[in-house]
Amino acid sequence: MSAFFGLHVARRAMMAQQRAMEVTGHNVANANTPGFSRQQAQMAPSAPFPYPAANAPAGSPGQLGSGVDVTSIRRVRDSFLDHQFRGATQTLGYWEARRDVLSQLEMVFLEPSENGLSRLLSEFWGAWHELNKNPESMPVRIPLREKARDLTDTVRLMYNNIEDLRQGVALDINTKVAEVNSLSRQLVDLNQQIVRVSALGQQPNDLLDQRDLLLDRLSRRLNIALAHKPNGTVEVHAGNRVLVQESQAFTLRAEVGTVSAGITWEKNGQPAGIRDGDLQALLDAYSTLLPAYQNGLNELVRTLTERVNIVHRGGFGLNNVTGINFFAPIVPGEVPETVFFRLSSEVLADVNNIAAASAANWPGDGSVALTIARLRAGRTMQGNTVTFENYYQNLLARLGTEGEEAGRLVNLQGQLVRSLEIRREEAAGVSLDEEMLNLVQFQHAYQAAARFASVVDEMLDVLINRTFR
Amino acid sequence: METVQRNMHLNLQRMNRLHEQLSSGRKVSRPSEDAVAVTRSMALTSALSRNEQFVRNIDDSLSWTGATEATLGNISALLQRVREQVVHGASQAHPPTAREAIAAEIDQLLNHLLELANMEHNGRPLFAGFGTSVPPYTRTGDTFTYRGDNGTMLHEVSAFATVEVNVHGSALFGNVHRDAVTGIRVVRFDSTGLEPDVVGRGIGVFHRLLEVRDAIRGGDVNVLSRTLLPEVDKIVNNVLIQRSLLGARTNRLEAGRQRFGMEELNIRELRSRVEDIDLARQLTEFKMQESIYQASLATAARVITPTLLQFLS
Repeated sequence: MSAFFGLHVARRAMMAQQRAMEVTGHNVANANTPGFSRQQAQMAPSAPFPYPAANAPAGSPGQLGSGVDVTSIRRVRDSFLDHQFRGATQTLGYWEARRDVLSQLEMVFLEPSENGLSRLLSEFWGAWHELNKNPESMPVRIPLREKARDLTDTVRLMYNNIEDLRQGVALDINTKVAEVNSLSRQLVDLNQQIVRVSALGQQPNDLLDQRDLLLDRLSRRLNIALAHKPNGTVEVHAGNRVLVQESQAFTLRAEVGTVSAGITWEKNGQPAGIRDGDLQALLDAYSTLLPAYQNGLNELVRTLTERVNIVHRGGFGLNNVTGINFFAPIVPGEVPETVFFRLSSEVLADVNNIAAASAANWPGDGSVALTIARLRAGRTMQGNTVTFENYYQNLLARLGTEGEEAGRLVNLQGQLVRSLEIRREEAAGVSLDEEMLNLVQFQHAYQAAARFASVVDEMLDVLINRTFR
Repeated sequence: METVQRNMHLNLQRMNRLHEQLSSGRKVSRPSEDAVAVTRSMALTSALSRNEQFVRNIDDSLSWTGATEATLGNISALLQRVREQVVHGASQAHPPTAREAIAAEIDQLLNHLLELANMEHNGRPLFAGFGTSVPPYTRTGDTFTYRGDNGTMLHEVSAFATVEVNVHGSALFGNVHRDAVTGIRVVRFDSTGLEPDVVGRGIGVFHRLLEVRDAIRGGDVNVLSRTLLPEVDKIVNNVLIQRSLLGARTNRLEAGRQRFGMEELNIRELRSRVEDIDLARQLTEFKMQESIYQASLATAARVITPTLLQFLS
């Protein structure tokens, strides 16, 4: 055993403590880096001396320790929490996207307010009452036409606003699918780098963190399942197939039609079978949620047009003309009806064409106007079970309930995601206080090791310089 | 650290919501906040607007019946005067000049009655039915013509009831006939081609008064007392009947108006309970939320500052 053995022990100790301090420095530097997980220098005693062997010196007291080594730099991470977190994020992504769409839809309907459709409908019926009371009066006919025009314009505007919203959603779908594709390409890159580093027997901690971050983002978009392979790569399943495998990424394609939207695999054109995440919420919004409200308006417009026109055609205008439609009649094939909802050209051209009388030459007769005004209370919609107003209120009630549900689930799921986030942060996050303590600890250990080296040095000084003089 | 941030954010959000409610004075401003409350409030608003329309209809009906009532009062008074003259003329034989003077007055009363029969409300003749574009009654010499019809103006005054607002000219002044050739409804008050008498509506008020005038002028005491006096009584009576019918209708309308007034109060109260905030409570809550927010800021400041670093030299 060499006389310099002690110096070797001190050198190892100093190197190990220094390495640990460097790891601490790295942790502190990344305290605010998203997705970063705390790292730890794993220390272990280095190989003792002597090695057990048949020719070991007899009567030795046993193995003598030779100091310390940093065996690996470990990433502190709980993969079970990751799994839970991603599952919860998918659902949160779904409800958040749905809630956002619904709250924009509420802005379209503007209820309850002074400017919503329900007020316009009330005023429309009121104008017919006024016409009944003063059928020969121009100052009553003109406001009626303007109120009706206001009604048709507003309904058309609402329909178009929903359509705009839908187009916005379509754009979102395209962007998000592009993002998913980009994420999967990045995952492939990272997989490859991780394999290279692992092959050299090293821990690619920071690359793993980055990969986890990408997976977190991906899980917000759609439902994914992971499989960790022995070579360090991760296999990502999305929907019904593999999205990322070794060095291969399978791209998705957004198929946005006029009626519905879907996501398919670029390779074979098959549906991707996505079930969760904000992509699914957007697909739902585009294909079913928003069209349902558009159809609600269509239904209202169709019934209103038909009911009013049927009565109006039977009446006579101030100019004794009969058989005139009040609203432009529904033409089969001109769908959606709401887009074509306007007053008939005759009524637009001349308010005398508005039919209030039940017979010619009865300028004072408002009975037809009264019949139209009374449609307000008539059960005309949904197989003659509800009034126009009730129908519209039901539509709004549905919107409110759906919005409430989405909001509630966002809150609930948000809490779950946050609590998982906190737990993950507790496990993997950098605590500055803890790092500082470690630093102090490593610093002292380093100083002690240095002290040991200087003691050995003094001892050798005595041995080399002062002995046998 | 993130927990601190999120809690502060949550507190701020709650404050914002309260602020929104306080500044708008409404509990809910979008359906998703409370779907039930919003639908209820919409239904109540719609009921309110429907009631307002009914009240407007009732008011218009009342102003029409009021005008009719006033005119009927005048007609009544006029017919009373005619009756007095009939009684006067039938009581004894008058000298020709006196008879002529009475006859001339009757003729003047006829013209006045014509004016009353053409009375308008807001530019619409009261007794023309649906023929509102021209004055319904015209006189040419001793021929009276009616160009109105039997149109009944209906106003909707509640969800279940419509009310007839106008009194037909025919109910007051005579029979309506449909011309066999043209099919147009006409009423004639001269003596040609009239249908059999209907009690009270008679042969036509104007025609009767012409007969009265001529009988007085001719000093025909017998006809005046035996035939014409009972006929004039029928006419007077008929107007009274029409007035009482109208009065009953007015009462009904007024009762309806009162009911809607009360209903409106109720609905407004209900809607306010659904829609409006309880100011005192909301303000207290806002104040509370404010102190919570401040407390969270204060504690956040204390949580964030100290780190071990400060204590390491």
